[in-house]
Formats: sequence, structure tokens, C-alpha cells
Amino acid sequence: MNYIYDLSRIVQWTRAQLHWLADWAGTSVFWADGLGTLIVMFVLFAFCASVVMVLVYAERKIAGHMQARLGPMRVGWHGVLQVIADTIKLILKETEIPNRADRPLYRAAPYVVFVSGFLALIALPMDKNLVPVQLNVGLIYMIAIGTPGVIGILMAGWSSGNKYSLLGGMRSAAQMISYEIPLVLSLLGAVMLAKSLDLHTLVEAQKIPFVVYQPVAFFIFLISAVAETNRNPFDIPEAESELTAGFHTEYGGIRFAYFFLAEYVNMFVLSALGATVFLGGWQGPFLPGWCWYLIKTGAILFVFIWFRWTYPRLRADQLMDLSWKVLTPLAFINILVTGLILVLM
Amino acid sequence: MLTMIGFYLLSVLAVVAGLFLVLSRNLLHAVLALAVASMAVAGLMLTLSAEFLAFVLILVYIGAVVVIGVFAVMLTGHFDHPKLPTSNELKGLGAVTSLGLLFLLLGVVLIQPIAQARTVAELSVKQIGTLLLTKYVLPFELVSVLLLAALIGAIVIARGKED
Repeated sequence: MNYIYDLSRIVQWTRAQLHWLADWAGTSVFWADGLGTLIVMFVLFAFCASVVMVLVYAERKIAGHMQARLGPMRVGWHGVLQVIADTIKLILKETEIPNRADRPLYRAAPYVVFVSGFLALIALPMDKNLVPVQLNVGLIYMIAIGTPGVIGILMAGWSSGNKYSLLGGMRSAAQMISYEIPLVLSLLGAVMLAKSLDLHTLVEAQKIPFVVYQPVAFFIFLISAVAETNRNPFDIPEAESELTAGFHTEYGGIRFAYFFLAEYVNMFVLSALGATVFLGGWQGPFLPGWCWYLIKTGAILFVFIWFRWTYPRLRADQLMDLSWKVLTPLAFINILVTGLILVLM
Repeated sequence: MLTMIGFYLLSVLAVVAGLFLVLSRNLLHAVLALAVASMAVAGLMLTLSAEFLAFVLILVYIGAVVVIGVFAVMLTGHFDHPKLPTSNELKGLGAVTSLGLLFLLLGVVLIQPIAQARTVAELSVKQIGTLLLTKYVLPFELVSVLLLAALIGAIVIARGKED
């Protein structure tokens, strides 16, 4: 492997430097590892923010071209600096709290939503030797750590003291809970094939990507993931024409920016999870592992964006029907068939 | 050492959140305090290296119990009143139950030192799965039937009376 592009070397080098620093300062390795953890968190946060910026730009450009427009063009070459300009605008804006708001909850909600999305990122294997935190129940961690996000959305919806926010928050939460079930069930087929809940082992087990053996599960995962992130065609929680903007109607400035960030981070996390479990993660020929990880995640992200600009919005009852009467039974059948084949083989 | 500090910090957090849950006069704040308490207890399990249990606790308590609680509170309306009582007529019975539970737990802790509990907790998912489907298959199935009954009950109540 061409090791200039191998990120894990940089990580190993940094760790070696930190240990040398601890040696030199005469302190224990404990503090060096603590500092290392802080650096990892900082790098991941920066990664997170850059991914979101790229995603927002890509979404606006792709949307533009799908509708025979140009998208952002004014700020920078072909509008590449538009997102940075928007971010600066959001940070500088005045943040206000509505009179009828439940103040502590109103302030805390955006961070709860963002942190739960961000924490999911630390368990994803990005390369053969590049896993921020390796857990032997990584998949369960990924599913569990996303759940406080639902609470954050309910907090935001309720604490705003506005009926549109409350309705939007409740719709969001109901939808996220409903689609969590087919999402998790669709991942089980892959777990049965790899016989492990460790994301690293899951990737290593995929000499042939699991999407070949689990096409139905991948299909269910894709649909549920779009619904989990409350995106079109499943965006009734923030349907502009009925609910203004859903649970974040009353939010502005930096707090709104955190919701926005969380939405795109969740999108990235779910795509990366799909790439890891079904598309073989960092495995691939020629290119280094982290490139494959980003390419595969990017491919799923493109499908998400593509969905948004292709399909009209579903009605609330159609949405629940799809989850409970189609996707969930299909996911159970998929598990049953996978189990039967595994036993017979 | 870090584990010890984490253990004590999380214990304090769990107790404070628990007290807030019982004493708060705002029902929604109380339910959210339950989420914080569950998070803290999950953290405690992580310091005892019971990762699987910790994540399942988050999944079940925050993902299901607290969300259902928040929905219930929102749909029932009056959840925020300064004179909302924090207790009811069953005070005496409640006190007896909690004291009994306290003594039971104290007994378990005194008989079984923490150091021993730690080695027990380090069961892998595989071992837990095997135990559930062999030694404890009967309780496991009983719990499943109970949950199924609750599920059907909820559907019957939610459907209401048709004609």
C-alpha cells in the first residue's frame, strides 16, 4: 500500500509523539492518552463540520442541476464559499428565546440532538487501522446512541411554546421511532452472516459485500434511513406548507445551526453505517481504505439527495402504513430466510 | 483511577437526577430527569465493563420508556402546575416498598463485593445469547408472552369501541 495516503500511519505517528512528550515531561502515559483522546475528538468534530459543509453545498448544487438551475453561483468559484458565508451569517445572528419557552430545555435541545449524532461517529471504522473507538458491540452502540436525539427533538418541540413546533416535534419523534424498527431489523441479516456485532469484524467478513446476499435488507435500510433523517419523501414533520418548519420553527442563529448540523451529521452517520454493513466499508481494490469508505458513503448520500428531489411527499397515514405493514414484515421475512439458509448450508 | 472518578461522578449524577425525577413539579422535567438518570446508570455499567447491558439500557430506557413517557405527558395536558402534588394516598405503601428494596439491595451489595460483581459482568454478547436460549429459555419466553399481551392490550385500548 502506498503509505503516504494511509491515514493510520499519521495516527500511529501522533501517538508515538504524545508518548515521547509524556516521557520527556516525566508524567505517566495516562495523561498522554487523555490528550490523545481530546485530539481525536477535536479532529472528529472538524471532520464532522467539514463533511456537513460539503454536503450542504453538494445538496444545493445537485438540487439546482436536477431542476435545470445553476444553484449557488455568487460567492467564490461556482459558489463554493456560499456555505461558509451562510455559516458566518448564522453565527453572527441574534439568538432570541420566545416568551412562552421553557428556557433550560429550549437552550439544551439543539446540543442534545447534535451530540447524539456526533457520538455515533466515533464507533465507525474508517480504515483497517483507523477506528476511533473499537467496541465489540459497535452496532448496538450505533443504534443506542442515536436514541437521545429523539428526546432532543421532543424537547425542542415542546419547549418552544408554539403549537407548530409541538406538532412537528411529535410527528418527528413518532416517525423516527416507527422507522427505527425496520432499520434495526434490516441490519440483523448482515449480523447473522458475519456472526458479529463488532463493526470492524463486520467489514472484514465482507470479502463480497453483503448487499449481494442481502439485497432486500439493503433496500429496507435505505428507505428507513431516509425516513429516520426526516427527509423528503418522508418530511411531513417539517412540511413547510402545514407546519412552517416543524420542531425548529422558533429557533434562530447558532441554535438553529446546531439543528442543521445535526440533521446532516445524522445523514452522514446513517450512510456510513449502510456503507459499513452492506457495501464492505473500507474494503476495495487499488485505493486506500478511507477513500473507499468515503466513496461508498458518498454514493449512499447521493441517493438520499436524489430521493429528495425526485419524489413527492407522503401522507401521514401512508407513511405509517409503509413502515408497519410493508417494511417491518419484510424485514422479519428476510431474517427468517437468512436464518433458514444459514442453517441449511 | 479514571474509572473510579467516573464511577463516583456518575453515581452522584444518577442520584441527583433520581431525586429531581421524584421531587420536580413539572412532569415533563421529571420524565427528562429519568433520561439523565438512565444515561448515568448506563455510564456506571460501562465503568464495570458491561458494554452490552449499558447500550441496551440506553436503547430501552431512553429510546422507549422515556419517549413514551414524554408522549403521555404531552397528550395528557396539565403537566406544569406549581401546586401539582408530588405524592399520593399510597405514601405508606410506597415507603414500605422502597425501604424493603433498599434493604434487599444493601444485603446483596454486602454479600457480594463489587470486585466479584465485576468479573460476572464481563459476559460477552455470545454468552448472554447462549444463556438466554438454553438455561433461561423459560423466563425469556414468559417475558416475550407478557410483552405480546401488553402489545395486544395496547392495540385493543387504542382501537376503542367499534359499533
